[in-house]
Amino acid sequence: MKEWIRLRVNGSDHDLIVESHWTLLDVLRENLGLTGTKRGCDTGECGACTVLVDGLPRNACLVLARSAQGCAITTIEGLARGGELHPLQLAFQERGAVQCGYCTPGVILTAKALLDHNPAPTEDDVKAAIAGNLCRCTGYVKITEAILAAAEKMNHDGASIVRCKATDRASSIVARQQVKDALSQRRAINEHAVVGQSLPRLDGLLKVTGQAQYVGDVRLPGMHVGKILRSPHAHARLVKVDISRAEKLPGVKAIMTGRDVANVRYAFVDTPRYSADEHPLAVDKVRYIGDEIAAVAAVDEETAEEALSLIDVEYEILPAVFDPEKAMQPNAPVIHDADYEGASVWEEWGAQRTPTSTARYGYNNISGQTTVEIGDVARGFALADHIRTDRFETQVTAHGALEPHCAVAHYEPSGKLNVWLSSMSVFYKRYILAKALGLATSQVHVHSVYVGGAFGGKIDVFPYEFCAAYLSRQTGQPVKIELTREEVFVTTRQRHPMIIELKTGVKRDGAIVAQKVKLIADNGAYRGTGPVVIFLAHAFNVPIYRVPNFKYTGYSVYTNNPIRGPQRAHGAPQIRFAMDSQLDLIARDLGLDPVKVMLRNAREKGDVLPNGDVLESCGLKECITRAVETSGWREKRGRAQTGRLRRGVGISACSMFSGAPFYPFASAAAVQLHDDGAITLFTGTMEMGQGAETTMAQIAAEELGIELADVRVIFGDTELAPIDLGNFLSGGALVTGKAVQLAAADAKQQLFKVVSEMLEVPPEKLTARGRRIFAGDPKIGMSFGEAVRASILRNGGNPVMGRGYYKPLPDTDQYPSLARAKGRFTPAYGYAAQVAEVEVDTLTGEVRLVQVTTFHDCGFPLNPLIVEGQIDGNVSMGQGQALCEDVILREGQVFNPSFLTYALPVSLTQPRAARGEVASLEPKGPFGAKEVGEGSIAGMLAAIANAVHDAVGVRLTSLPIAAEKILLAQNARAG
Amino acid sequence: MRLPRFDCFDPRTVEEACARLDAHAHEAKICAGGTDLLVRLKQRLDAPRALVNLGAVNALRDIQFDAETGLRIGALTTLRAIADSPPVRAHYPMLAQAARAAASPQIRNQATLGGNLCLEKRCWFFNQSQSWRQARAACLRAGGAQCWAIQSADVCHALVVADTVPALIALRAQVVITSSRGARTLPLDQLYAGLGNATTRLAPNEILTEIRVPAPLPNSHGVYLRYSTRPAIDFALVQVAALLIREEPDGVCREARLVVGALAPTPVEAQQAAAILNGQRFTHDVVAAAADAAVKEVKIVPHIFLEPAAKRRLARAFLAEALQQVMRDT
Repeated sequence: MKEWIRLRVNGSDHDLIVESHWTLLDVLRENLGLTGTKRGCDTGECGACTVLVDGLPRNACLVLARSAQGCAITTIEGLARGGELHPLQLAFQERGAVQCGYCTPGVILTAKALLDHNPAPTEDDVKAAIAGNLCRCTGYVKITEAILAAAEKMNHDGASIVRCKATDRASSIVARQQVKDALSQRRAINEHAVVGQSLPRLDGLLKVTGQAQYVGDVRLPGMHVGKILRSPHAHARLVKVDISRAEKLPGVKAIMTGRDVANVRYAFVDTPRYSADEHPLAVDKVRYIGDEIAAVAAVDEETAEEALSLIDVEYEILPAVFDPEKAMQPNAPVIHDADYEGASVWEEWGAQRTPTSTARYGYNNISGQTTVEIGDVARGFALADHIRTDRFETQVTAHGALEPHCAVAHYEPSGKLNVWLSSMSVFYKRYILAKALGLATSQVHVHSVYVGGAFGGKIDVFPYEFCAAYLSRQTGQPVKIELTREEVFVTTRQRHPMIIELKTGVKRDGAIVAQKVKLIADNGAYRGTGPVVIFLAHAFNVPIYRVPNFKYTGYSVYTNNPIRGPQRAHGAPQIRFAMDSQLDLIARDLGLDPVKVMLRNAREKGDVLPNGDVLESCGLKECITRAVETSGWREKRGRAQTGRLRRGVGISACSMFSGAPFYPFASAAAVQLHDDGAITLFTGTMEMGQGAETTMAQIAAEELGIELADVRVIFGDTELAPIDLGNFLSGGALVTGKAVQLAAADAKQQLFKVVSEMLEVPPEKLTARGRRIFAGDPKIGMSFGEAVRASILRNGGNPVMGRGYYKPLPDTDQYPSLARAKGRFTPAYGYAAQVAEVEVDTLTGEVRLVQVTTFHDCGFPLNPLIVEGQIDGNVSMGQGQALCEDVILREGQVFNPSFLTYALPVSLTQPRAARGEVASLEPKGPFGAKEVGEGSIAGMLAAIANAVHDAVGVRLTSLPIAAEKILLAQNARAG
Repeated sequence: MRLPRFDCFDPRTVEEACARLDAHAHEAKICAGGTDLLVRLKQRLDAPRALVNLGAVNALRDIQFDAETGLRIGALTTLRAIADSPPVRAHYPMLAQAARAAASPQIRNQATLGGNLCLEKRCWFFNQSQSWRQARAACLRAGGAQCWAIQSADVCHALVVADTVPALIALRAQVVITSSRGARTLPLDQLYAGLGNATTRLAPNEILTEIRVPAPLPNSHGVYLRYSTRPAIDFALVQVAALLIREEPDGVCREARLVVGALAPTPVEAQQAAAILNGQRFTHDVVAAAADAAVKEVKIVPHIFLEPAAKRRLARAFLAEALQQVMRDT
């Protein structure tokens, strides 16, 4: 029923015609264009769409637009009234409370309501107030700090407004300067002026005002809505897909099925050994519940939904298998009937290898195998004083990025395809999409947008992205496909559950002499990253301890479960959980302190790994030692306790790549110097919350001796920025950062040449610092802008542009072999050690994470505020995976595909966070920087499991460590 | 995710609302806060032609307290208003705890007490999206022939999990139910239909309009606790409401009321456990015996990721904790 309503939003009345069933969220976003109110789940569970209704926070997705009449509605766009930022908006920037920014508008509004009612809240008040706002990036640590800081400032100032225009660029620089001044006390003393400083993010202002644009916010004229029909069966042959009824529905613009794209095949792993096994839409079979069958483009969402219900599909149900060990048995149903032929990515780029069939593995449904043998394992075990064998199991977890996956595609008549994608590497997606669509790579333009959290879950090219492009080509109109939260949980990617059998032999002093690992990863219905994760589980583990005799066999296995893919530290949490849980048990067996056993085996700077990687920087031992010292390990470990609440501590360590060689194999960057002294940095990196836009700008500013405020960044766009590896395997800081540094250095050399001529001093005597270029005394020289103008004038108008590029392993063409783990992996490893302190309620079995102490060796913290934020996010995700997150599957069906039922950590359970950086200064990295974004999730699992053992003597070898499991184990112990 | 199409009526009085329901009873749904209903509609669990939106019935929004007659709460009072209400906090802290335990601050700002009491029973096999449910044959509640939660069952085993229910049953609350034919009053525990598809015994043309709680008893003390994976957002996996009335000055228990929720289709009052406590002074042994007895009185419905035995262990632990809290607090 259509009706006129009047809504009072941010102080203005709006008269609108709406349907009775439209929610306030629909109307704010679609009708009023107020896209700062974010759609996260659409079912009132995540808080991303929080708005204030008569001053109280509510989820706009559960308010009927018509029911909001007569209420005062405040959205994030209405908070900076008259262009003046609210103190919360400033504090969120100052304190690093903003990362991906997708939860930010909702959290800020919730916090505003709190401060309006309670101007002096306690920390517990804040945590309770924001308990309905999920955040995946920050672990709530800096959000809580920022809200408390804003409250304090408002009470102190008496005035609630800080002067600053929210929207125009010049004054945004003023705002940043204010923020920076407030941070001056945080400034670390270091030799650098811009890097190493906790500067507020460049994207902070856009994100705290709701102006940052994500894919879902893209509006194009005439845009159709796409929806996908999915299989309700875990394994079935498609007998018939009949679209004739759906085609007749008015408003339906195009329908595609597997028949239309039967020849299209792609996959993340597409090598001679492992050829691509995914189609955009099912051709002959469906292999999991959620497998794509058909896609519809229609004039609106309601029509697209209805069209799906009119597609008639006939299935022949096939036997299915959901347990990877059963799937490996000879009589198990075969999920992929035939080997696929051919490979694309690697051959085109010159990495020819003999195709190898996977049929030789001797097990059924094997999608990949990694075998590594070092030394002589039998001899090693013969030398051991003590041998332990344990079996560990890890669960399926979800990425939980607050932004649901979304694609907008617009096919131009010229044949050019414009896309806006939730991605982590625009060049990787461009390449795969172009190949799949049969377009020249350069005909696909991936546009820049902010990404609302990714954590590995937005790397792959997904069927919905292909379908949006295909349907746009069919209709000649833009097409948008936004996944529902349930689709995100079920049909994007999940973390691989693993079964890990671990046999370790040690000497009496804890020195490891031999280790044998058998690992099975369930990759679900398609290969996904199966062969990658079993390789990485080895590759992220081998840099931790020296193991002279080692045998590793990893299998990735097809089942009829949802597809598994990369998730933060891809493979490391699982293997590190097993390794350091067992090491703790070994230390107990031997009566040793586990810290001693870790240090006895830990690798050091200068070590050469079995594949040839050299640890040119390695702060592992320092991380362990400092985490132990800071956490109070010695006083807290092994306390005799009798009360109901018992505390314990546990420790674990982890390591992570800093980039690796894969398509497009290198990163490039460019800078353009403007005659007013500002610069534009062009980089293909993505901003998904990790702070790349800001840290890359800091690197460029440092190199050129200018300020962060002088740098504007063009990022994440395949036409406006040069090629980039993308943001996975944690190459951002080292690889892209190095390219940016070299680009800035290139431009600086050009300026120095000119300045050197003008000042008549040799270029090597020149310094660029404080927006000046000078020789010795800053007064003798000129401003950066003067130098740029001089260069342009003296060189006939030639602009000053710098170019830089960097390849992760410039001295080798040997790409790592997934099957043998040979060849170089990465230029440098980041390290972390983590101590968890838990409190176990022996009555209820509940585990409270009290404190986490993390020391991360990121080489050099380019921006300590951002580095801390990365650690906080890792700690929180690790906490979730250790204690409460679990994708519940029965017969291949996900039972908790929602933020209500899948338990991401909430504000109330955040531990005290103690964190520190170990600056090992990686020689290859820009200013010594390397990985920080992924590693420190992986130490959390064993640290918590070991802490629980320390507290109550209960050892859990499967995750998550839920209350009921502890009660059961306690009962079993009590006999 | 769009809602299905429906018409909407906005009565301003209870009488108007009743008239609307009389006209549209079998094709209309009552919408109070809407936090549960709108999710159900998005999941296509209901497809009403129309909503009778009670948002404009302002008469149902106040809380009145009288030391003689007790508490009267209009059905549209939000959970937040109840949790923050001074008389509720002073005289019925258990109810404030229960109201504060539900969902999230955003939901509590919108969800109403009447809506919470009428919250449809939940099941892991039923409260899912339309496309999710297509992966299985329809369950009993969805018009099919099978209960997925208990596959041998021939009747729906979904659970009442609203947080305020066990607390209000322990407080002996009554609900006022209004239709165009007048009002009737029902003890809250009798509102629920038990096994089967229906959550409550409300007729389609009836509205729950008011909640009445008797005057607080001297020397009574109540505690509401719940177990859930997280302390916010989640529905409870175990609920415990314990109310004890004791003699002064010796502290002997005169009357105990123990209500456990989220284990069986409707909350269960553990009467044998209460009998163990009655006439006793509290010791750890008495508490343990009562907690053991209470969980034995409940036939626990299996949960998707918790075995009945695990739920029983948790329920026992939370009962013991609730009783110990009462001991500590008095």
